[in-house]
Amino acid sequence: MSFQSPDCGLKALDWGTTRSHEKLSQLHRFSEITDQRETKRGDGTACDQSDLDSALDLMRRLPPNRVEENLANLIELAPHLTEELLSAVDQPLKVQKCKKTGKEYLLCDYNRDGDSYRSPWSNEFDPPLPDGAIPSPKLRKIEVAANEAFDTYRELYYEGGVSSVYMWDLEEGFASVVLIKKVSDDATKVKGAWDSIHVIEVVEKGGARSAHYKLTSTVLLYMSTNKANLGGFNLSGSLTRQAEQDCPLDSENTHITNIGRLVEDMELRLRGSLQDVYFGKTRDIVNELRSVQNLQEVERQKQLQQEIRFKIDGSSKKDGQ
Amino acid sequence: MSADQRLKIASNFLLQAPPGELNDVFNDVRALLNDDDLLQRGIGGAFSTYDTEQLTPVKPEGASDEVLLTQYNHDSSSRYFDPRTSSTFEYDHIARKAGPLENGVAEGQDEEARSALDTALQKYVREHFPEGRSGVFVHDGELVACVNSGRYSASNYWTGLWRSVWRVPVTGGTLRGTLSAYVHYYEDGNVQLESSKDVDAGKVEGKDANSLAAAALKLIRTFEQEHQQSLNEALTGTSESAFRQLRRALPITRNKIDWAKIGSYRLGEHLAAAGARVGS
Repeated sequence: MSFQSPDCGLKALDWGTTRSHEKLSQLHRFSEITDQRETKRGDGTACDQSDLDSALDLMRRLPPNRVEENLANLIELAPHLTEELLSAVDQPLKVQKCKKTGKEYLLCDYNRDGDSYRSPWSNEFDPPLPDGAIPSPKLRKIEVAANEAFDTYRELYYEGGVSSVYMWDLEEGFASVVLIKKVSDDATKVKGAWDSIHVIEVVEKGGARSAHYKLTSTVLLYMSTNKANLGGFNLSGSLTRQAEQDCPLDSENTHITNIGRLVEDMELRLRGSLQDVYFGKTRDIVNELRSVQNLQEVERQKQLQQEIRFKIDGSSKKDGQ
Repeated sequence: MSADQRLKIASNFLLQAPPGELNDVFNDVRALLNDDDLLQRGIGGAFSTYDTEQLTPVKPEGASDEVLLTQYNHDSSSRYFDPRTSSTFEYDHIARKAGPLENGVAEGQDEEARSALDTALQKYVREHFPEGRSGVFVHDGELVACVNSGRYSASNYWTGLWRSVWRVPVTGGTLRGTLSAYVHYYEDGNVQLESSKDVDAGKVEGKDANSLAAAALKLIRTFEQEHQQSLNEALTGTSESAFRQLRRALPITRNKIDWAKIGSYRLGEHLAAAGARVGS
C-alpha cells in the first residue's frame, strides 16, 4: 500500500475546544476534552475516540452548506458514533409550530426525546410523549421567564426570526441552550440565514450567592445568491467561541440577567468575528489567488523606483564630492 | 451496509475535499472505513475525478515543468498527455506520484494554434496569478485553456483555489469559459466560499495562430478581471448589507439591553421604534 500514514486525531485535537454540544453527561468535563483524547488513545476506548476525532475533523473540512447530507452519510458509515455526532455537529435549526399555543419554536438535540420535540411555550412534546424528559418545576419557571426574555432580545436585535430556550437539570446546577434563527429571503438580493446556538452550564456557589457560567456558542451563517453578473455564489459556515464567568446572584442579578448579558456579549463578539472572516479574510484570500493588478507591472514599477533611488543616491554622492 | 455503499459514501466525501485538503479528508475517511483493501480496490476513480476537476498540477519524474491533470489531456487509462513536450506520463492518483515523460506522440495538426495560445496564456498567468499554473490542450476540435491557482496555508487555517477553463474552436469562434473560486477558512470554525460563473465571451477570430491567441487572451483578461471585481463587490457590499439585515450590531436604541428591566421592553419597544422614526 502506498497510502500516507493517517494522522487522524492529532489534527482534530484543536477541534476539541470548539465542540459546542457535549451531551449533558459530558458537559462538566468540557475543559478536559483534550487531555482525555490524548490519554484515552492507549486503552480500549482508543478506537472510538480516534474515530470520533476523524469524524469531527472530516465535518470541519466538508462544505458547511451540505452538513445535513454529510452528517447522515457519516452516521451510516459509523453508526457507533451516532449519539456523539448528533450532539457534537451543529446543523441548521428547524422550526416547528407549537400545537397548543400556535407559536413557532426551534428543534435541537436538547429538546428531543426519541422522535418527539418539546415546545418551550407549552412544555409538551410533539408527537405526544407522556413520560418525556421535562425540567423540574423550579427550573421550568426559570425556563419560561428565559423564553420571554430572549423573545424580547430577539426582537430587539433580529427584528424577526424565532427563538427558544431549553433548560435541563444537572447533578450540580443546570444547563441551558439559547437558540435563535433568522432567515432573510429577499429573492432579488442575497439569501441569508443566521442560526445562534448557545450552550450554557450553570453551577451555583456559596449558598446560591453566585454562580459559575460556562458558555459555548456557535453561529451558523449561510449566504447565497445567483445573480447574472456573479454566477453561483455560496458563502456558508460557522464559527465557535467559548467563555466562562462568575456572576453574583441576588434580587438584581438572576440567572436570566446573567445568561442574558453573557449571550449578548458573546453574540456581539461572534458577529464581529463573522464579519471579519466572511467579508474580510475571504475576500483577502480571493485576492491572493488572483491579483487585479498586473504583477509584472507592479514588479517593473518597483524596479524602476529602486533604480531611481539608486541614481539619486549616486548623484547626491557625486554632488557631495 | 454493503461494501459498495460504504465505498460510495467514502468517494462522495473525497470529492468534496476543499482544495489542498484531499490528504486530510482521505486520512479521516480511511480511519473511519478501516478497510484499506476496499479503498485500494475502489477509491481510485474518486481520486482521478477529483484531480482532473481541480486541474491539479503535477511534475512528471525528471521533468522541469508542471503539467495540469485535466479531462482534456487524459485518456481512458491513467496516462496524461503533455503537449508542450509531446509526451505522456503515468499518474498514480492514490500514491500521488507521476512517472517519467515518455516521448513518441506525434505532434497534432493544431499544434501551432495550441502553442500560440499556450504562450499567450502563460504570459497572462504570470501577470495575474502569484501561484498560477496553466495548460492549453486540444480536445474535440477546441482549444481548451486551463488555469489553476491554489494557495494553501494550513498553518493559518485557510486554503483557496481559483480555476479557469476557457474553450474556443481551433479555427476561431465563440469563446466560453467557467471561472471558479473556492476559499476554506477553518480557524475555530468552518467557513467556505464556493463560486462559479459561466461566461460567454463572444466571438474571437484571427488571421493566424498568434492573432487568434491574442484576441482570445484579450477577452479572457477582461472577463476574469470583471468577475474578480464582482466577487469583491459581493463580498463587501451586497453580502454585508444582507448580513446587517440578519442581525443588528445593537438594538435600534443603540444601547445594549438592560437585562434587569428586560420585562419592560415589551412596552418600551414600540416607544423606542417610534422615537427612532422621529429621530431619523
